[in-house]
Amino acid sequence: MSEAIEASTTRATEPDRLAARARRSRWLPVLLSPVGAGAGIGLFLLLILAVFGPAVWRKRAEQADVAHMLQGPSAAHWAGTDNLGRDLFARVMVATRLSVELALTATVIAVVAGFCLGAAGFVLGRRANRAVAAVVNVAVAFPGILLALFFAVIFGVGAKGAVLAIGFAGAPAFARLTQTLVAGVEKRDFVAAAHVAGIGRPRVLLRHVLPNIAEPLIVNATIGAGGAFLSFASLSFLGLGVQAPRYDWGRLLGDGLTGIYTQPVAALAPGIAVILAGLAFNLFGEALAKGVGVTATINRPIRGRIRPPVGVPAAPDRPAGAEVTGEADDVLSVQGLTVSFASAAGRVHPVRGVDFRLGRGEAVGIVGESGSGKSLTALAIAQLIEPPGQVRAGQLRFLGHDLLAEPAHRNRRLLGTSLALVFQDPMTSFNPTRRIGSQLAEVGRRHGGLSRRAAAARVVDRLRSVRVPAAERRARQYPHEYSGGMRQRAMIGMGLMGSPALIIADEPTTALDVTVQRQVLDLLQSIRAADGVSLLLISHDIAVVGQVCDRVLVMYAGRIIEELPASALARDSRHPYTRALIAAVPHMQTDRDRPLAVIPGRAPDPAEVPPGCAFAPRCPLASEQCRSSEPPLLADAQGRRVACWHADQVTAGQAGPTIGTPNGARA
Amino acid sequence: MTSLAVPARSIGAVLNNSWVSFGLRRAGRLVVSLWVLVTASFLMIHLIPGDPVRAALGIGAPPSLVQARRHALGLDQPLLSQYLHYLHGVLTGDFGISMTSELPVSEIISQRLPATLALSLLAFLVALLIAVPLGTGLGVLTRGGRARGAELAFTTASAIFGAIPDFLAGVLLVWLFAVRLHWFPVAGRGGPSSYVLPVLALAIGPGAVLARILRVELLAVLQQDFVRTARAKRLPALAIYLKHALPNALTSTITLGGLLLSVMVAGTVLVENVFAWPGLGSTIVSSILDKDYPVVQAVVLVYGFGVLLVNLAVDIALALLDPRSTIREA
Amino acid sequence: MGTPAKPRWIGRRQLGLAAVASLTVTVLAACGGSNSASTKTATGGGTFTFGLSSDPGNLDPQASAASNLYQMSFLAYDPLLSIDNSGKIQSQLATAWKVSGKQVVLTMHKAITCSDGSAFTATTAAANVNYIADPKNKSPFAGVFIPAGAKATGDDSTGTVTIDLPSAAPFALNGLAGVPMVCQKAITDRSLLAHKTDGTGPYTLSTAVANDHYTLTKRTGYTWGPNGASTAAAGLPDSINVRIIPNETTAANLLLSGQLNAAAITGPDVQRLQAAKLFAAATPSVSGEMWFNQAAGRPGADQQVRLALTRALDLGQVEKVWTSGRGTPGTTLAANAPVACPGDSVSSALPSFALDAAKAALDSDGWTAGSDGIRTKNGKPLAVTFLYNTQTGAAGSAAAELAAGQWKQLGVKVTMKAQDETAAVNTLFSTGTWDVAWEPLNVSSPDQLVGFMSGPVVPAGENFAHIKDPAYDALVAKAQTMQGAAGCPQWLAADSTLVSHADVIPFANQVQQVFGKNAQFAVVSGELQPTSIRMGG
Repeated sequence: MSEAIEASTTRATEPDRLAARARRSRWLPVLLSPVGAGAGIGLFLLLILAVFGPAVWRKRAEQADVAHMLQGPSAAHWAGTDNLGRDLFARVMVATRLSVELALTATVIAVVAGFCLGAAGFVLGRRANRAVAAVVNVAVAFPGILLALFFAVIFGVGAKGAVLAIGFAGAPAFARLTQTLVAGVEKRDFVAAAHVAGIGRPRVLLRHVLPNIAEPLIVNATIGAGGAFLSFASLSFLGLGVQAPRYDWGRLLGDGLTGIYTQPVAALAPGIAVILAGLAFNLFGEALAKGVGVTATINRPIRGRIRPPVGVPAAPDRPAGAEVTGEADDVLSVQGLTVSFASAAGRVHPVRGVDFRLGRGEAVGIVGESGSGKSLTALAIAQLIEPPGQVRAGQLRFLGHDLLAEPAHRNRRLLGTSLALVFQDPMTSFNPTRRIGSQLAEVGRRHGGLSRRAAAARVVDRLRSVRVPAAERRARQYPHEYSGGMRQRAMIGMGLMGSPALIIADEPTTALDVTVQRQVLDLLQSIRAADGVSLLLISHDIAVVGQVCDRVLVMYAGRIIEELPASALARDSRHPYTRALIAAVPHMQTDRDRPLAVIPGRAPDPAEVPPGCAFAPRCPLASEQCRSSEPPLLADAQGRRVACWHADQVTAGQAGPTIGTPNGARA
Repeated sequence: MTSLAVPARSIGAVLNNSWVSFGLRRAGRLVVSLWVLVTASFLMIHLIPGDPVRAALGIGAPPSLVQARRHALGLDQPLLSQYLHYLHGVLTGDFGISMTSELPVSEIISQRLPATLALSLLAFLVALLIAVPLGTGLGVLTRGGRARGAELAFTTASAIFGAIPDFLAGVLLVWLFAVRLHWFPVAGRGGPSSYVLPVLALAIGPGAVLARILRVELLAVLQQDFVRTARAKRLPALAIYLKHALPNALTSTITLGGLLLSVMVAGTVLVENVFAWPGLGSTIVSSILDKDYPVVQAVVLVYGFGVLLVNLAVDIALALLDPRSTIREA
Repeated sequence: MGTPAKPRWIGRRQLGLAAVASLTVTVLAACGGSNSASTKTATGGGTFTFGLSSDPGNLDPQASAASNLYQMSFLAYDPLLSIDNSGKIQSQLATAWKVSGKQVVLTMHKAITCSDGSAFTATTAAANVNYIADPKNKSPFAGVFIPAGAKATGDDSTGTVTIDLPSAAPFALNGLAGVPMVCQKAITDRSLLAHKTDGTGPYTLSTAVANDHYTLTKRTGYTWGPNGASTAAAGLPDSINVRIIPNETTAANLLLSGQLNAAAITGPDVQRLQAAKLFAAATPSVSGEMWFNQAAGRPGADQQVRLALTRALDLGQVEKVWTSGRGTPGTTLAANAPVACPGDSVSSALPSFALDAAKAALDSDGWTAGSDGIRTKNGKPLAVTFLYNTQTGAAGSAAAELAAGQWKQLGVKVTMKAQDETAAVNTLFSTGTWDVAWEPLNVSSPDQLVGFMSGPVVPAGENFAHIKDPAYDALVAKAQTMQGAAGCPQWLAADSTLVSHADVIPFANQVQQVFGKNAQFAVVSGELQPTSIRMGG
């Protein structure tokens, strides 16, 4: 019975095992990064030298030639000779083996002893854990060299004593690391399950906990090995390390240091060896640490220089008629907006030619799946895309100012006061170490020229206006003291510190629960009503967009594929994608016995946009034309735009063969 | 073993708003740690194989003298009463008599401690002064994958500097700046110019390591959402880096700073040797080699206590700096 | 290597040497680089900074003969007599002396004052001698400088001190020249001397910071220096700052930069200092000396083994490596200046280098080589614990490795043990776990050696090598009946006996140099004479 339980708990760790396997495959990129490769090669060479060095150089290293003692570097002796006339270069090479052996042994001792000590608390229970923690805290506090000296006195001078000394001196750090790691893993479900199943603690430790913490332990052990070389050198400098007739780098360094002013190379040669070996281990360990944590992102720039910006590619030539006609008092006028990034796969364009305009007091929503480019569009408009991302546009005007023509700092004031941004995650969008009030006040002081007192007063006023209760007290609080909804409202309040003409809200309610959602949306509405502020609302939730906005832009794979008034959303959309989106929204009459409607397939990765219409692979109306050429975004008489070869086939009122509609009762 | 990648705070209790309870808990921890430290240093003499008194006195020490010395050190008492006597001594500031110089150990310590304190504190400040601007500047420079060349150069250079043992750095500095160029005195503690080389020797390695870590931290912070918010507020770049990014990068830097101070203190042991600096570091080495155990015990206590204080200071600084800081249970 | 300081001299707890008096100096270079020393300008006053390699500890000059303490003692204290580098006895606290049989009579200088203001009288002198000679006080000078059981009486009216020796001491006056005298108050209350000085010397301790520096200030009215030297002489510094600098390279650097005026340097830095043409005062001394543990049961008890071990070594090569080419082969066992019995008692008696003969000797002695190459006799392997002093740093360990290699070829199992001064003394004089030791012993007159080469073994006596050589004892007995230098032929013959029997093998002499910058001084038997310091130049 317990076997089965144990088997099941072991299975519970399967995901972790798979994850571990996945992690291991990430070690390969480590070896390919410049630092990782360099350090890896260094380590490899070190190991080769340690294994084969003595065979090659031992004879030369032991050959005494008293007549030529203490000579400087020469053709015959690259690093000079020592007190017995022996070739120093050969001795450094031969000493590699002992130095590496000692350093690795000391590291192993440190890791094993540290692990046992740190894990002892886990095995023995809470009280023991505290006691162990106290001891480890004190021991870690000790400078390593003091501990090493202390142990060296106990264990005696010489290689054995030094290894034990450095090993035990390094153990507390690993004990502390083990404790931290174990504490992190301890809370996980599979460990709790194992406990419940009655599996003994030591077993849990070895079979469940250890595999999960092995990685950081190994990485730190590698870095620790690097430090061990330095520790051995230090001990030998003090005369406590390896003794004659054996020699390691530390001893050679110590001997050489006495004559450093007359014979610098005698000390530099082993010194450089120590430094290089330590470096190789350190850098390799750090590369490992980085590699194990890194994930492939689109932002990883190509190697080499950042290439000069390329022109706008791929977007098809636009027929003249589709040009967006801007009006003079438009808040926002965007034409041909393109955002591109370099990636391992070449240049990708998550936003490919977006045009639209936004008038005063209007609310426009951009809706689409993740990966459609809607957030990037918003960020691009707000000038928040940083290199290596690049923004290009035919035209990008905000309140009449051409944002592209003028450099960033000219627009600073304009953007700081007239443009308000609300981001998706209110939790992380505020600086956790500063009070809300001061973060809001910054805007007023920086752009509004307000004094500290005036800015503080405005902060309180704005917080009140966004219905944050007890605004004066709240202004002095930190972000983590606010609830999620309140934080989002404070974010809006921050935007209102100036007098914004436009609020760009990027998924402002996604991270909030439904009731709070309502509050925030109502707030946005009331601000619009009160001050005539325009709103650009980005969301994947077409229902929200439909409720709040006047006009809706539907984006797919980086392009706008339909633009229509919100009122037309429910029944009057013309693009198959839009219709499918609408159909996918469940409502109160949705038949609960049938599976929820979905749009099968996935949106294409920006790096793999097919020629032709990007929606074609998923579209029921797709034809050869759709697959081969991309439909242009064409406007009709009412100003609605759609990019579809078969848009006419999906006219108002006709329930086309949309996929996955539950019961089609609506049309 | 120098730099260790310690994971961030992984568990935390609910924040207890009361500073009093925080202070009490910390003080309690300090007392416990101190007790462990005192006990360890007491046990040290008894862990050493052989007879410490005879080893120290050597010849010319007929058994009667050895006996007398053992009696004077209290080594002929039962272990427990020795321990209590030792505790009493520590609490009253009596650390015994040095076996080689026959001076009271507390006098030796009080004479030599200021030199080590001055050296390590100065070195710590210098390390910070090097690391913070350098790390921040490089972080800003190499954000988002810019300046890959600079990043590689900085990573390599800081790794190399971090890998040079401090005594080797000291010797090289002396050779170059004192012996060859005569810009600074060769050794000894005197006027301000005599501080330059030892402080540099101590500070270079840890400063380089700290700069590397700070750069990485800053890069991570710059990826955070609130930095985007700050940019959305169109704050000037300097304000963003200094007022928003840096304070958030500092929290882990402070933790590491505490660790580095310990490393610095350790470094004084070797650097003082090179520069004939009249501090505790040179005392402890010569005491260990001379087997003058009362001095070794006391120096170990002083070092340990100092490091515990640093840890406490780091904890307090963290709590002050990060309003979210959750106070860990043991 | 942590402290590659000068080789220390051992005896009871690092015995110093019979020092005292007179100015004989080997001037290797005039300061400032000029090739003529005739236009020296002595600009007195100021502070003379002197580097010592370790802290003296308890400052009582008669409680320990550690070399650093010994040096410091001569700044603040005086011996009864002084001796110059040629061996001539001269006045110091005593102005006249007479040795007849077992009695020494000294006439004291009138009006000697102590640093505490009290007078130093004949009775004080006598009290000093009695204190040292009393075995109860465990002074390391007993039996070496002052024969144990000596009794002194002082007559203040005549200002004479009469010392009755238990037996004739050929070099009694030399011995007296090596003992610093303390003032009356301190004789009984030794605690006064632990951290302060109370003596008659030209300087007195004003500040003491243990392990860092000691400052001594000049006393006015001091006229009883070696051969009448006084502190009124021009060129003397107003104060002496003794700095403790364990690292020899640091001391060398400080010398070069002028932050030190004097320090003893023996390691590789000597080259730099010589190249910089620094002033140097030199003392010849024994640097490398090989001893064998002749206690029962040890391989060294067998003379054949000792001879074989000696003949397996090319001592000339060993000496070269040990001294990094700066030394010379051994000459006498008592090699410190002033050498009481000059000559070469060693080279003719040294067993010659012949590895094959050594192997043959061991073969015939019953030591047969086993399959692993190690020789055994009656089941016991020929295993040797080889102790060498780490003071010589890399050169020392290299020479030791050379010797160990040779002995391995001989079929001996060698365990190398490198120990610092304290640990080595402990091993030799307390624990006794050694078979071959390389530890130099430096004295200036051969009678100071007797306790080490014969007589009661440690811990009762000084004979740490358990040497029992009747031939040596006989020659010594004969020499002791003769007065002073008259017995030198016997003394030298005694030396040779020890060497030819491989009881002790001195294989390297080295000139110990005290380098000076911006000052000149005289060094007698390795101790810097304070009254000889001349600042400037």
